[in-house]
Amino acid sequence: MKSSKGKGALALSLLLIATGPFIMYYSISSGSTILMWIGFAETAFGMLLSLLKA
Amino acid sequence: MPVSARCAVMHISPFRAECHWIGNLLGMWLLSLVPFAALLFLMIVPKWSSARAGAASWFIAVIVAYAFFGADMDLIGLANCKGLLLGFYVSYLIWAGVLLYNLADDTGAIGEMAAGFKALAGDDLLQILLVGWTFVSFLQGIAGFGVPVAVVGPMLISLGLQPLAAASIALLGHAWAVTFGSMATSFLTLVLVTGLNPPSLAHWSALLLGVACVATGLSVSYMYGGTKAMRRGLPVVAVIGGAMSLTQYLLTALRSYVIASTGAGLVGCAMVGLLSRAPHFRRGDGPKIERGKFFLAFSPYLALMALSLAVSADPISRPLSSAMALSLPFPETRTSLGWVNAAVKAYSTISLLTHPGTLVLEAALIGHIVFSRRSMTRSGIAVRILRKTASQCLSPTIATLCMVMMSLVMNESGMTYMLAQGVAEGAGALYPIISAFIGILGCFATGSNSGSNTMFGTFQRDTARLLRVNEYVLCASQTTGGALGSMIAPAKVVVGTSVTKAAGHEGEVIHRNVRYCLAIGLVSSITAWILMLCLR
Repeated sequence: MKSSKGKGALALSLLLIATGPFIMYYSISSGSTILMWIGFAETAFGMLLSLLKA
Repeated sequence: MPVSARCAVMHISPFRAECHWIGNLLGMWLLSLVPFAALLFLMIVPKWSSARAGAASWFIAVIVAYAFFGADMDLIGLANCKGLLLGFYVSYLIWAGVLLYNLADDTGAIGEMAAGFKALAGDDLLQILLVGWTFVSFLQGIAGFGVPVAVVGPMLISLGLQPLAAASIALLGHAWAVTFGSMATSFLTLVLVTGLNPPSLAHWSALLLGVACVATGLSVSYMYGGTKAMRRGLPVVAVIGGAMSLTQYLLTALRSYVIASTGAGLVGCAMVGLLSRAPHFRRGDGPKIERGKFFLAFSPYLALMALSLAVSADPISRPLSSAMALSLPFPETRTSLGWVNAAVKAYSTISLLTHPGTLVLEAALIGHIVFSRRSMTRSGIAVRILRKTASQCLSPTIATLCMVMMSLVMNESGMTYMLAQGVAEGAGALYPIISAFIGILGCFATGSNSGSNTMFGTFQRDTARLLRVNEYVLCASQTTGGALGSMIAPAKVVVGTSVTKAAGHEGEVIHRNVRYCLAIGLVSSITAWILMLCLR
């Protein structure tokens, strides 16, 4: 069983992975490069959390 | 020389031409293999959980796509968003499946079902074949999309199997029924993308899937009890497998594609019931089935079958599918190497009212009402099973999203196609012998037989025309491979492990199943090759 800290990290990872790509999607329609990088960084950070905590 | 001009000279796609231009086609092929190889290696050798291995492979896929396959940030962003939509589709089913299992477990329904199956088929091997081969195939016919694995996994545990074995057998047993399962969506997808004549394609597909049917039955026996069980199960598998294959073939010959797997599964269940009365399998008088308790325990699953059948009927499914449908439009993307992903008006439409996850949730609700009325529920059941479900599903959901997003980055940057094309070129005239493995690769990458057929259907048809072999047989081999790939596709394995309390052990399940998948794939391919030689 994972500790509550571990579960919290996984829940945060899921949240980041599930929202990052949508930010990237909307950055393309709005033409914002900054938003694109924010979305990518968010997704990548979520993946990193999963890599370290899952 | 511009890419288009070079292509005209070389008679190849701009994508291939650019890859040639880069210089090392073998190097590109090896690079496209890296993310898949890393995923399998990390899950099987150091036994990382699929969430961890999936995340690592995602990083590798993004780096390779960006650095070597000319994918820009727009393409990577949109590929991830497509992956997220597909991942949501699978994850919703995982959550609903686990919730239904927890309800059945908490109320003692699983134990009652086990007792019922034990009484129905007294012999232990017949019980496993009944649940893990014929019944799961029937469910694949009416529901599909992972539902059979989600339903049958817990039932196999109730019959005394270990969680990993239960997940493996559920995945293995349903694979042959996938092409004509879930209302023949995979088969109809292949017809749509290739433009081939449906009756001829169905004829060869049913033949190859018939071979796969018997092979999966034998594999289930072997996985359950080794060589001894396989030898004991051989006659029964031959008879039941023959009957199921013949039923599927006859139904496809009658152009009843949408009920071919359902009919075959039903015939299989009936045959097991008949054979269990044979002296060879009778174990004394045994326990009698308590019909009331059995059907009561089975009520949510009966409700699921009824709901699945109801929404498959056109007059019901059409208005329900269009209501509350979620999808996103995607623009065209292309890599700097010339790989083009066409614009899509509505990608991966999720019809909330007909989604298999919704049907499972409705079945769980019906089950809860029935169990409450019969005083089978304890106080606080709703909170207890919701909490348990959330705790069990967190990791499988992350795993699903990571792996599907990785696959989409590979698909959209042309890496998966490069992988298949490299295999085809390496095999040359012997390509038909490995044709089913392209289907398996497609299913592994996309998580579905339909996805595999969409990705490689036209590729197989064109390769057949190039090699001057029968295109119908080669496309039948493609969809057979796509069906068999279901037993190792990470997106489906996650469903199996999450409902059998084996979450995090996806690598071990893939490791168990991969040898059966490859062996049956080889048998199917060789059969296809022999058929092609006969037809020349």
